[in-house]
Amino acid sequence: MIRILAISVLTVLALSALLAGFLTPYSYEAQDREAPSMAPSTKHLLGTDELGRDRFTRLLHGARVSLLLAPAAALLSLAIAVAIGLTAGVAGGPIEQTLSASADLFSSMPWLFLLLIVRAMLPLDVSAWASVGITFVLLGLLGWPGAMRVVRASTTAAKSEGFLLQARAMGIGGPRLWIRQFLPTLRPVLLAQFWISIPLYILTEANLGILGLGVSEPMPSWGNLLFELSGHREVVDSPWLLAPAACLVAALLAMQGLSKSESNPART
Amino acid sequence: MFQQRYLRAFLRIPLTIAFVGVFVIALVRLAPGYGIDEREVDLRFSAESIEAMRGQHVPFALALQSHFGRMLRGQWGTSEVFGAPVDRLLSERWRTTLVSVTMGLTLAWASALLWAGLGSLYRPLDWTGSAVSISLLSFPSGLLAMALFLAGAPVSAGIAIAVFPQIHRYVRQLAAEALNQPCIFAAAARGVSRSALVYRHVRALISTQLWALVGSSAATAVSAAIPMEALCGSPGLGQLAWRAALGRDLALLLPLVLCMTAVIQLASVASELLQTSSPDPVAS
Repeated sequence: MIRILAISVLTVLALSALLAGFLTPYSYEAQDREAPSMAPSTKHLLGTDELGRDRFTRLLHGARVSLLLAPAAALLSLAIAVAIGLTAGVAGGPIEQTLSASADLFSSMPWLFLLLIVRAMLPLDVSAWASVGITFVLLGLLGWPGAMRVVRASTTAAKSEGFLLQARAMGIGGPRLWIRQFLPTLRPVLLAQFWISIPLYILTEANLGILGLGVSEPMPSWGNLLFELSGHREVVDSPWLLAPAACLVAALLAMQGLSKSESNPART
Repeated sequence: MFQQRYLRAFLRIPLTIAFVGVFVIALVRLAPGYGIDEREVDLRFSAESIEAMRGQHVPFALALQSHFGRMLRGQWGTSEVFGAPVDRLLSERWRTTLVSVTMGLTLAWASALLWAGLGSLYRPLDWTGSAVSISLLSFPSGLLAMALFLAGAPVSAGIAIAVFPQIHRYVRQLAAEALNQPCIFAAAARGVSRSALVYRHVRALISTQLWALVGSSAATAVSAAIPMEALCGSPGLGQLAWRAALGRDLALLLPLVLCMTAVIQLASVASELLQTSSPDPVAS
């Protein structure tokens, strides 16, 4: 039940993000100087911001950045985790110890501070796409240690598994043994790690955005749309300002539900 | 054996700080903005004076040596945004963050332990605890900070809310595993009540593993302090980091990150040592 609900919510959000161009006639950066800070109307479903940009259009385009790039960052960190975890697990000995120690080192770093530093160093005229790319690539580069530990543990445990011994007896060895025979068995573990990382990356981007250090203007993301809230004390009187927060929380709840059902399939 | 473990644990602190320092400087050098300076459009500065101020032609190894050398000598530099010595800024603000983080952690641990403990006794409380944890994990700390600011709540409450789900989920899982141990079944068969099982036997079984979470919960609390302090207007190190990042003040950001790394590492080493020095609950 939770799984179906979660998939439905994510499908609706992903489809609205992908079809943003068809669902709204405005561009996310087009300014209507005649209508700044408007309340919702039939023309602008969620009103307009201070620059007269349509909030609904920016919400849909913001979903693209958050929903499509977070999985890309999760894939990047998973690829790094698989490469390092597999090497550590297969090699064992000092190589495993060194790689595990580097994973420990990486996981003990203050992530948000590092992101703040790199984001702070970007030039003020950096293009919006460059800021998006750099933010998510960094998230991917910093997020591998957790998944690496899981892959290394699974590889170490699988070394003496029957199917691998059988494959070795049939003459399969080297990278082919681990990539073609062993890696597919990690699919459930990797899927669970993938679903766990996505909300984490969306949350981090949102936090950076709320602090004004996320994706650069005029590109919208759920994070930088939330930045607007910090200046609005009249949120109670203008609840439509909370639409990006509602979408973000709905997406994250759906992902939490999905990751829970992925790691606990028997219960769903 | 124990001495070696202690020595290794404490050696990890300077090693991590050095690694983070190298990593940060490397990141800064690789960042697309490195070498671009808005002072170039300021007519008060000449090209030579800007060049002298940023010193961008220093090789990487020399830059590292210079940064660490100055910091070790106690010369932490001057913040460009605040126009004040970095060590003075840090010493003025660390107490605010320490109080918020300590109170937040205490609140989070107390409520998570209580809720997970009661959840082991009463099923509905377990479900609600789990639902609350999942819901809180879906809220960005920044959004929570805004809500708390509007409600007039203290920063420590926000930090507690940010850390609570991590502790609650872990304690809940440990308690569920402990309740399935043969010794617990044996105690239940001998007529020990459910509440006595949880508060006496399960608590003893999981206490050692709980120490392991102290370090990571401290790290979460320190990270959560940035948006909480920045958006709630609390004058701590989190707000300092935020304003330094907005002002692209690397002279302040680097020492700040190294200090935070040291704090997180100290908490992590302390929790590791507490865990290893705790007696084995099954053996005792």
